[in-house]
Amino acid sequence: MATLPNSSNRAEELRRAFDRAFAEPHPTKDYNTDDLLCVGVSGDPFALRMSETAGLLVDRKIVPLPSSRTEFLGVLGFRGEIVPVYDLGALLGYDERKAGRWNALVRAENTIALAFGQFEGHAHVARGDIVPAERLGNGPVYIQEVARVGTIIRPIVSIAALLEAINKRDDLPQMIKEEP
Amino acid sequence: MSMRPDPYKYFRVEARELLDQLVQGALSLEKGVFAPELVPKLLRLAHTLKGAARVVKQVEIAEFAHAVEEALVPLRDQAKPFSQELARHAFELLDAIEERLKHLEPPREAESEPAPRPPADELLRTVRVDIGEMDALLDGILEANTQLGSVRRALGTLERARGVADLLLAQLASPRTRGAEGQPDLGPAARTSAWAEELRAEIVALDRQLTSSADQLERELRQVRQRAEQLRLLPANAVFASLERTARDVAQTAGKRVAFETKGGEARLDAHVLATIHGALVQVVRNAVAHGIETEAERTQAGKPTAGRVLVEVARVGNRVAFRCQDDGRGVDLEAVRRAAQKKGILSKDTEHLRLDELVQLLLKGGLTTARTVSEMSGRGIGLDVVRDAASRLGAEVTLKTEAGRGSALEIVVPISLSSLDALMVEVAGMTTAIPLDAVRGAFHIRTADAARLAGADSIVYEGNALPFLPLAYPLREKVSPGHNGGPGVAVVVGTDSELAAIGVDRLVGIMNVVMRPLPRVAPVDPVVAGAALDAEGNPQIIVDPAVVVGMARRGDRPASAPEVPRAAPVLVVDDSLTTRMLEQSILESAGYQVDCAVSGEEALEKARQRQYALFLVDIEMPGMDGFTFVEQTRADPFLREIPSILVTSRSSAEDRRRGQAVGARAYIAKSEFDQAHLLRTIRTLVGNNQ
Repeated sequence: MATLPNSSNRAEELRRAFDRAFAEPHPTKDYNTDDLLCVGVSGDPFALRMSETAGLLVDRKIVPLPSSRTEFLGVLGFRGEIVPVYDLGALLGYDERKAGRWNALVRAENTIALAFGQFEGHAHVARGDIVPAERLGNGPVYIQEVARVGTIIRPIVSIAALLEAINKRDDLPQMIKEEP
Repeated sequence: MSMRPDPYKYFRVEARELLDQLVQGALSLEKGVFAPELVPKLLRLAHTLKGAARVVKQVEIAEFAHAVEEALVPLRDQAKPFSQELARHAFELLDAIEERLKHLEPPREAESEPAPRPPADELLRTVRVDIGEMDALLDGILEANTQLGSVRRALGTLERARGVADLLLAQLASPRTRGAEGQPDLGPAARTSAWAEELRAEIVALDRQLTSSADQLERELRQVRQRAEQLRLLPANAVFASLERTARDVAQTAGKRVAFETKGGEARLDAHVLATIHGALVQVVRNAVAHGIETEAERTQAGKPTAGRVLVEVARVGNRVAFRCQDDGRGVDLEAVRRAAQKKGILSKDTEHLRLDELVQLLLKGGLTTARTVSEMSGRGIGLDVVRDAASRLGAEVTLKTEAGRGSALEIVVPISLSSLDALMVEVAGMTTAIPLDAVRGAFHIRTADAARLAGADSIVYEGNALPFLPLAYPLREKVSPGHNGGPGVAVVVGTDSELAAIGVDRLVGIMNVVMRPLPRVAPVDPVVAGAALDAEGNPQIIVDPAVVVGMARRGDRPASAPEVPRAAPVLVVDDSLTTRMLEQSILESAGYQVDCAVSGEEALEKARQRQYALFLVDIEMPGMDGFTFVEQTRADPFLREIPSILVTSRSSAEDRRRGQAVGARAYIAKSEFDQAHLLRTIRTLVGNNQ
């Protein structure tokens, strides 16, 4: 059969490639880059560090709860847990209050979800393309760095700072309320 | 991680169950309960325990169990009564078995740190499943349910595909695809037609199969989940037997008589909470009997019954559970607390005139005892320290009420981690919300005559009395739905006999057993929300705190921000054409409206009677009931007549417009002139901007 020599050559080639794969060093993590989730809030580009998030949910039902905090949208259920949902736009100072389709899960002491309108993709960004942001006037303290992703400059939302601000608010409910 | 083999894994569970039943039985015998089958039952239990202990080579336990048998045999033969001496002997033997059982701890994981968790209460070992495993099971089931949602969505896709196939068939059947003179062209078109037929048949079969299996899966999963959730919880009475035993032991040692009572034992609570609270309750009961209850002679002198009463009660209060221990003894000697505090240097001369509640707080701080002598049972001042420690671990509040000569009541109020409760499910502003059933006194439809008065009023007549009325939408900060005749459709009467209020809801959904979970600390919610339960699809449902709602209704509270965050009723799109439905739905949703769809006038009427809508967007030409008839019927229905309708149609004759107007449609939009902006403007004019 005429095809046999070719087949055995091909098999030999594959076998060599397979063996060679073991001889090569393991790919190591590139510590000079950061993974970012690119998100859109009211049409403006932002980024979240993937290392600060624990998951991304889309189109989850958010149950509104009565609250005095406008940035608090309600709760959603995730794997048997009740997760409070905050509006990322409202936390960043945007007036428009419209629950986004996307929720980034943030694991802190309690899991929290940050809702936003557009998910624009994942970016692998060199550290050199991330620079400290200058705080302008009374701008939110959650933006401490900006990243260049392609041709777009994206402010990186510091989730740690955001959580600190959420936790600091003194109108969080107390575990026990006094009966009147 | 490897575990060392645990040879006593099953023995521990079995022995624990047998021992609990033996203790319970011995307590009944001691109280003089006469039941002919009791002694033989106890003999069987002791015998089973003996056999099981021998199998795992626990010789001592086997011997003690044998001794219990020996002690009980004369009772069966009615040779002896269950004397005090016999009781003491039996309890000593059971205690000895208990002690040996404690030494049969499971081996710890070799690499793990010493377990920092609070010691699990021995009594609660009868939870045979690992709670972590159970949680994982629950998570899995929830997630499976969520997946089921995807199957449901796939069914939607299938429905649309079927629509396309229908369309294809219709197109193929039209004259243009037929051959000359109406004769069917048996060429490519015929083959395509055959394929389309086949496609349709396949889809219909698949649709049927998927629907049936999804229904079944949903039903099965719901049952499994309910069972699993119940397993995760324990009835509060799991700790009652050992509390009764404590009361008995202390009373006997101190030479007192005690009648021990319990209440609320059926409440199912998180095993962790029960395990932690159990140690504290043992101390509280011990204190009540040792310090509170007087001797028979003292009680007779004080004109009280000779047996002191100790009542342990478990009750749910909003999002917390109260464990109360009440006695009718002498009350806490606050002067003795003052003296003890001064002696220890905690209280200086200038704080001598502390108020009663401050002295109580001092006592709760711990380290103080008012007992004159230290006994085996109490008097070292550590009892309340144990209570304080358990309370701090559970984030609980402890209060003590005491009255000289009348008794004391100590209450530990614990925030709920998990608890199950029966709830009345109601719908408010499109959301299903739970009201704990134990607070519900009744429910009634709000009559048309009442409705107008309700619009601005804050009371309603129920069984001849005027009750404060509050639409539940207000405390939930939802827009009060216009509802039937301008108000909520149903009033639910909640509260206690002395403090009742009626709360308005859109409709009643039914009664369900739900598992209440606390809301995370970072959820800044109003106190009206006691917690949340997860529905079959894993989405949260609000559980309201009836006490808060009743309080608001009675005070006439109306949150100021209520009207600022309206969430409007949805728009109902009624059209038999899939394309038009999808197009209109997407336009309306993009503009921030909630949308429901119906494929026929009949379905739309059915939906409109179940849910509150802001507007109907109706096609005229539909198979069955047409758009004119639909509008006419809604206008004739007293519950639906106020909801505006817009007719959307490909017919644009003046006659049709006139007919539309005559049946009561508020606007008429021709498909040929269809313009997104015009549609939205029209809707806004009729119902406002609902974003």
